[in-house]
Amino acid sequence: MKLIEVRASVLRRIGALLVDLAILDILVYLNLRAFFPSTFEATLRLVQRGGDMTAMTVGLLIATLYTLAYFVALEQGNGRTLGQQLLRIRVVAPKDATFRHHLINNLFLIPFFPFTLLWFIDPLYMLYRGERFLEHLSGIRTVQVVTAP
Amino acid sequence: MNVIKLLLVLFISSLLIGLAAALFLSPVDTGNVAVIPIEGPITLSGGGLLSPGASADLIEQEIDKAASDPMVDAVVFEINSPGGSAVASDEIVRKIRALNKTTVAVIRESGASGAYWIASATDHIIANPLSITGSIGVTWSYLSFQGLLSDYNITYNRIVTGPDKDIGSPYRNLTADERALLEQKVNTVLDYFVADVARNRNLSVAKVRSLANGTIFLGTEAKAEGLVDQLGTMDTAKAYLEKRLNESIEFSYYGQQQQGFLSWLFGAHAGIAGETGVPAIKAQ
Repeated sequence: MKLIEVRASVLRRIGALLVDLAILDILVYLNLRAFFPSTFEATLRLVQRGGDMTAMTVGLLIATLYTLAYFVALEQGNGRTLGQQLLRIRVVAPKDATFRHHLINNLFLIPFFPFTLLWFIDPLYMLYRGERFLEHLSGIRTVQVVTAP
Repeated sequence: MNVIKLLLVLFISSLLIGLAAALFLSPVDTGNVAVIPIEGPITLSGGGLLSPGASADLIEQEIDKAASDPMVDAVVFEINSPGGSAVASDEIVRKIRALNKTTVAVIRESGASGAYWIASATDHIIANPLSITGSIGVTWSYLSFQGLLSDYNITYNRIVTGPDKDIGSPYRNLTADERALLEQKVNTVLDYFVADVARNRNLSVAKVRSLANGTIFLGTEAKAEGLVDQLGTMDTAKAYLEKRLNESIEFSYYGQQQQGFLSWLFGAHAGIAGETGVPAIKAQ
């Protein structure tokens, strides 16, 4: 029996992402509450009615910067985020991969158009090619270790 | 890569940004019901530094703001006023009628005379059982100092181009003809006031006129006479609007009016106490 690296399963990827977002929620997003309406219903009303969303937009931008900082810094410096560590997956980057490559790999985390299109492109690409579109662009793979006979 | 250090940096920096935002940013306004206060005596510009009241100009601006805000479904007028200038009250009434949103008046301690006139223009009036309301009537009273001037041998030199030019001057008494003329004017204003309230409240002119002797009504009495729709408070208004609009209600407080020195010193009715011989006709 030997250990081999294979592309990480979809379930593990999603699990890892959810864990990382939960960590960010506790560490960062809760601190930025002042930028957002107090309830989800109020937020929905603000968006639906076209109210003043300046504070919310600024808050989202700041939250996005923190999210990218977390993912890029941990993947580049540590090879994996805390969520990926928990779900026993990691990223494998080429030797000459820079900050730019890791950033490209995580562009789907930006909740603004046109990056929101990646929420559809990435999984669809994965369905047909076995890797995310951004992984193809950045050259970074997400892998898990399995035993093979 | 020191993961703990990174997480600490993220946490502390976001905490500082969040604190700064909480300190310097106004809370995100997502209210769907605008609350516009009408506090104190009602005049066009709101009185002066010592005793400001409700400014019709400002209130109309707030109504325009609520009208154009897509977030706002309804407007609540929170009224605590003894009334005021007939023109100022009428202007606000016209604005309310032109507003294409649900309107509610909540009468707190007092909503009398011109303030009641304004309330009558809304879709639904709520008053506290002990609110002072009604007082449908007009006054153009003022102090005359002729006697005092005579006591001190001070002469009022009357130089006018027409006999009615200085009518209402505090330096001389009214003649019988002048009194009749002014009384005719106030009765004209009263007719307008009564007709408007009758139209707003879907009452007969005769019914409103029978109530229009300046008498004040407590909230309970006003409800019995059909002058208000419901007894209650702002919470009652919220429940009413939730039922009417079929959605949860969040108040958005507009135009907080500042309290003047006299108002602060003597309370809500300082504006009346402070007025002497004001020439404007008052629905008060």
